[in-house]
Amino acid sequence: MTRSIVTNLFSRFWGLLAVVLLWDGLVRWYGFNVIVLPDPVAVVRAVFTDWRIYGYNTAITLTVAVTGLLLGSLLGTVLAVMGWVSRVVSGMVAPAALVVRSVPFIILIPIFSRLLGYNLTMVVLVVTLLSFFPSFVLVSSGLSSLPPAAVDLGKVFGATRWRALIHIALPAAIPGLFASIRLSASRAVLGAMVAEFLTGIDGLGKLFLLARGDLESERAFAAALVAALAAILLVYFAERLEAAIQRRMT
Amino acid sequence: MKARLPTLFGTLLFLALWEGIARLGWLGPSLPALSEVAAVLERPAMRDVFLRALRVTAGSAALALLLGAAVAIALALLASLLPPLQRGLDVLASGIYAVPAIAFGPVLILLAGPEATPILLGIVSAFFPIHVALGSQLRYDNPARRDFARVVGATRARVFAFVDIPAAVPAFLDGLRLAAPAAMLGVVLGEWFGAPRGLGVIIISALQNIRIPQMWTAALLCVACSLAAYVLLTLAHRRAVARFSA
Repeated sequence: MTRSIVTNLFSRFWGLLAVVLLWDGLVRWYGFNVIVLPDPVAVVRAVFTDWRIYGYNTAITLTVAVTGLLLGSLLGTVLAVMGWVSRVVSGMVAPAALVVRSVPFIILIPIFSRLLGYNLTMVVLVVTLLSFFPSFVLVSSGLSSLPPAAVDLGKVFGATRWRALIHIALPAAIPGLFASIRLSASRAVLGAMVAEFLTGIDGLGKLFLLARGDLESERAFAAALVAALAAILLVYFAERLEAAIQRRMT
Repeated sequence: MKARLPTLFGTLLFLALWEGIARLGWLGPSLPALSEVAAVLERPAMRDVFLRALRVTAGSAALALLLGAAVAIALALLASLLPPLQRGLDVLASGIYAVPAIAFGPVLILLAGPEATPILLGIVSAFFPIHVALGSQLRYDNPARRDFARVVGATRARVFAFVDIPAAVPAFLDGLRLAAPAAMLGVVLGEWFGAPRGLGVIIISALQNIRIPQMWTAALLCVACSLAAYVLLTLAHRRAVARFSA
């Protein structure tokens, strides 16, 4: 029993384990100075010594990322549902799909920060914009896969437009909404951190900005580790949420 | 095809609105008119600076895309030769994907230096979409075709060369087109971490010196580049689907 759990864990996580071992081996083999490359234990220790700083900044970045993620995804969903009702908005789906796949929005963050000012609201708006397009495109495609017969059937039974929206369009929109939340989760954290990095607003991104200035490798690595864990946690949570919704909807 | 005309119309409308709003100054000096952004490239000296930076950034992105594809292909081959490794590789790949690319920045700067960081960050970003596309293809490809090839006497190596690889070409190009903007993003992020040359460097220094039109020009050049790569690879993907999918 325990053996199969260990094998299972190993087959799942051997890649991550290999990275940590490789890193530790590299430090030991070359006997790197702590400024050049700190070993994993030193980095973890650095996180625990300054846990207040890392905790505070992680809390800010995650709050901003989640707020923007939810706002953007909801906005995209609302617009997609409106597009389902009206022809004008649905004409925008194809160009939006092209934009979402081909434009690296994060490169435009310096521009948004100039336009919107250096403050927390700007970071939230940036993440909102990042998450908006994927949800608009995904929800629209979910709605367009609705068979026309479903709407006709509703009409035959005397559903008003409003009721058709609630009982037919909304259930069809929800899987797309949660899929887009999962897809945008890691980009949301990245967007928030880039905005913080560029403008020096509090958060994990600012820790990188500071770490770049003074050669404190331990703290730079520690910030990277914390950011990685926070993002992985958010993505994992979004995946679980999507799976749970999918189970309920089918 | 049907969507072409409205898209073109919408784009023109968007550009006209932009020009109008900027000329009227509704969003302040941070939104320059498109004509102002284009005018940056009119002066020959300026144009040289931008073209040189464009060559560096686009070159880095192309190299990162190629190397990211090479890594993804190598891992896909490894996983299809040794299936028990598959799950660990998938977890590692999605772990790397979940980590915000900027978190690799300080690490790469320390290990590889600011010159190499843009390309390395581009590889990290470009790798994942190709990995996913190849993984889904090599696992769910058409088993009936392989069985047929085996029955008529093909060796394992020949099945791999003549059935599996052609079948994976469309998926590979699909991953590649999604990876192109990601590579560009990774490269520019890497340049923000203190690279000596590139469009990312121009963006940052224009941001710090409040040279708004320059910042827009550099950013829009990046966007145009990744849009062009995406469109080209989409066309290639379409041809590959027509050629390799039965």
